[in-house]
Amino acid sequence: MRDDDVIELQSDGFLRGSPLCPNEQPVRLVRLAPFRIDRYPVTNRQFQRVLEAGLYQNASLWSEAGWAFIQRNRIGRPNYWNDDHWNQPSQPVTGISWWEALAYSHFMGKTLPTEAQWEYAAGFGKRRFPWGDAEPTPEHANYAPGCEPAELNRRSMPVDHYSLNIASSGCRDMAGNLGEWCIDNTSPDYSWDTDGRDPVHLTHENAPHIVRGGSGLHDEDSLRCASRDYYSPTVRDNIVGFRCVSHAP
Amino acid sequence: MPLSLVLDIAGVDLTDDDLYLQQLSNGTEKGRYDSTIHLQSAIKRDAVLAFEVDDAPLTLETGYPLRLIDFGLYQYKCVKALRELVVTRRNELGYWEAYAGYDLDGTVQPKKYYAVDLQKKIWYAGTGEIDDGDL
Repeated sequence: MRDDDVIELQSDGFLRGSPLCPNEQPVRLVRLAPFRIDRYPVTNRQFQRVLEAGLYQNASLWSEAGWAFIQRNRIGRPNYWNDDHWNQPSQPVTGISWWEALAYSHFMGKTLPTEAQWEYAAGFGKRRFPWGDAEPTPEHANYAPGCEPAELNRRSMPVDHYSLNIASSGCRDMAGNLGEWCIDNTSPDYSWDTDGRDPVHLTHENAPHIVRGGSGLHDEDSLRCASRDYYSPTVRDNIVGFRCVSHAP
Repeated sequence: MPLSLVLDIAGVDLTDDDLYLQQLSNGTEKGRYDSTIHLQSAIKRDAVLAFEVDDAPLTLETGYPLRLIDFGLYQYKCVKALRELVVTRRNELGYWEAYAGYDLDGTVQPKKYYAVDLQKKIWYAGTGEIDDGDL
């Protein structure tokens, strides 16, 4: 697994959304300019290098609100950083707010994916789940069937653990384990998207942001490529991680 | 047991809109959980103090021996293993808000939720308590 393991994608038109839930509608054709997306979620090993390089001390990497948030709350590392259920090198980093994810991506010269980019990378608008249309099993992903996790004392799995959890784009671990922060603010549906070209929905940094993919605490439905969730940018629980994107040259 | 009944016996002014209710847990090796909710809102939502479910005592997982349940709030606002209720005018961050950044308010938001009894996912477009008409 290499740090520079990225996948270049673009779409001349894919069907974003689904008829299965009101917040995934209307389904429409969406075009995406070329972009590069990390093959894997950001791991603890990767995050540690950036942490040691001064992520939490360099205000230039943070938005004003994000810097104020970590200063006010004296945040200098992810939550769960000392918890051996969540801090192993190949596990995805978690316990990071939206602002910490964004600052990390800035350090890497990248940003967070739009939810349209994320959804395209997960299923190309064709697959119900990243691996296809087969219903999830414990061999596919780390999730909670019927919202009941197998163990109360949960842990995440290494990002390359599930050999079946591969999207047609080549991205790994997009379903389950940890949800992934997107750059967009939440919205009740896609009615804001009137032209379908590189859509992104930004309202206010402090408002809740989109999280995709489900987690070890979320059920089967949350693993669908089109499924949407959201949390406040302050949330640092062990249900959210992230991966980065950049513009393709 | 209705929360309003217990607080009324304790002589709390249930009409005072500036009051909050701090819940404190028994505590475990992980610490003592707490959460504060707006008192009058909880009364209006018919919050209860639960000591049994389906004619059986609560389990440790569900909050034995006592748990405050406000169906209009996320569960992190309803402390398990309840030991103490403090009526206060200070609305302060509780354990999960301070530790993991969850909202102080905690009102149920528009989202997809898993209806355990129905064993299916539902879309809830409102805020606060989900009732049978929403299923």
